[in-house]
Amino acid sequence: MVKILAIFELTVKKVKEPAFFILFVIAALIGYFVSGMGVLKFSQNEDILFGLVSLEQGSPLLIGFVVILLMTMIVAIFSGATDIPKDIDSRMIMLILGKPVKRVEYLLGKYLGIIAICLGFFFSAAIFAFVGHFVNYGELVTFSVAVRQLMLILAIFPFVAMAMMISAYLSDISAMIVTVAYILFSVCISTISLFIDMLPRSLEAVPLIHPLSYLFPNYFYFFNSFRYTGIVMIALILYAVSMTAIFLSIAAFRLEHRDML
Amino acid sequence: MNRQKKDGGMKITLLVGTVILFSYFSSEAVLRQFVLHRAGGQSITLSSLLGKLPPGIRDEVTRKVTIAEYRDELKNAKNVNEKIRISIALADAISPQELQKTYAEIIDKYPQYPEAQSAFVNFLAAKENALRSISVSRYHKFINLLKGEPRLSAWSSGFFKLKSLNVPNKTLLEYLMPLLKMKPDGHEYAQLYVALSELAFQEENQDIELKAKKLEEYCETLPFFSEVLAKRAKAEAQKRAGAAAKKKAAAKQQTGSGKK
Repeated sequence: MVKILAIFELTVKKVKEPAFFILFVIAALIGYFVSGMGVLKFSQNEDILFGLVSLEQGSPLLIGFVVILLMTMIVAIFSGATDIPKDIDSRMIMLILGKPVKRVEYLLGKYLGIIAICLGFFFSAAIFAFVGHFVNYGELVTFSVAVRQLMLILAIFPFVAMAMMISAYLSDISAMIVTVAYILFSVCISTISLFIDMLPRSLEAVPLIHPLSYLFPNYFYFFNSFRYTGIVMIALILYAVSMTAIFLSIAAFRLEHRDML
Repeated sequence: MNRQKKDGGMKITLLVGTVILFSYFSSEAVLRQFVLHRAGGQSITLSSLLGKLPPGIRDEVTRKVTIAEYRDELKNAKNVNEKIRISIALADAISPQELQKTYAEIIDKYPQYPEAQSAFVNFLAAKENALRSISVSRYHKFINLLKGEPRLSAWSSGFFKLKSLNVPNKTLLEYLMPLLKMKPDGHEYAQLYVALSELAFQEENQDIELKAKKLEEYCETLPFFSEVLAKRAKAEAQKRAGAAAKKKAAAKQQTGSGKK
């Protein structure tokens, strides 16, 4: 655990760089400016997204926080997909692994570090969004609404793990491109698979798409609105945790068998 | 000792892996159902999605979806009546040839069911090259199996089918003749008796014409089937409401006596 924390500290230290300072200022500005955006809504008849995201129950999701999450995901791609390849290229990894640190511990430390950076970005933007809301509307965001917005962070955990899994196989630029391509594929497959579920079972396309859809995470689930006490909440947490574990396991397997030279 | 440790590690990895995969698939299933099974969302989204497709593709996709829907319904059919009804709809959606085949199959397998009516009407007085041909007398036998509104519908459909085939008046008269021996049970039969009396007039058969007119007048005194059905539905609803009120009162009484 101490070793994991040491790697974590090493990763988080990057925040001291001026680039990261600018990044957090940008996060604060984004947070403030998106605070005026309204509630996320899709009309039943016009929007295809209505079929993919359920917004009928529980506290509403604010568009501003969806923007913040998307920005956080960009940060996650940049840091998640480049950190390990950079360490390999600079031989930093050899220095670390030369000490009594297991490759899995290195991976977990890196993962926690990148998660901390992403959460830092998300929370700085979120705080300024709440402040902006108070300044604009003269009222505080209710507790349940605030909790719903903060629950978007559940999407960050598997997302970073996914970017790191890809980076365990490729160089930094390739990893970033493949991560973006994988996300786009995931969005397409999730959309098709959910729409196909609405079609009758006898349609021949159904059995083909379903197994394929399990290979791609469905990020639409994180945008659903639901009651905090229901099974959906538990399922969402379980989904994020299990996906993270799967991605990290694949990354760990690759690192374990990879030649670091 | 080392090997034992390795085996233990493998077992733990396998167990954790299984738990993770189980969590992934089960949570995904719950979230999928949550999105799909919310009130009213499904069909509207599907139709709006289909509406966005280009017209040429839309028609073909809609047809395929309809066929698949009927196939699913057919798999889940609870009884023969439902099965016949859905098979006809499915065959109709596939092609006219398939519909003819299905009609022939229904006549062979389920001639005693009211849902077979459209199959009988389809082959009524059909030409020799058709898959089946139903004579007027065979059709009468089928009608005799029916009661109430389906019976009236069978009489009317058969009559209009024969008329569309331009059969001679004599055949039409032969078709409607059993109506004279039957006691009509709905106002709607009047139009069939009107047709019968007109045919008899054209064939100069006064006896039949008079009988048909008498029965026509009798039909005018009868209520419409739709009225009877509406009354029955209302009475059933009242009965259900009464039973529910009684149950509620009994439950109230029971709780009252329990408190005492």
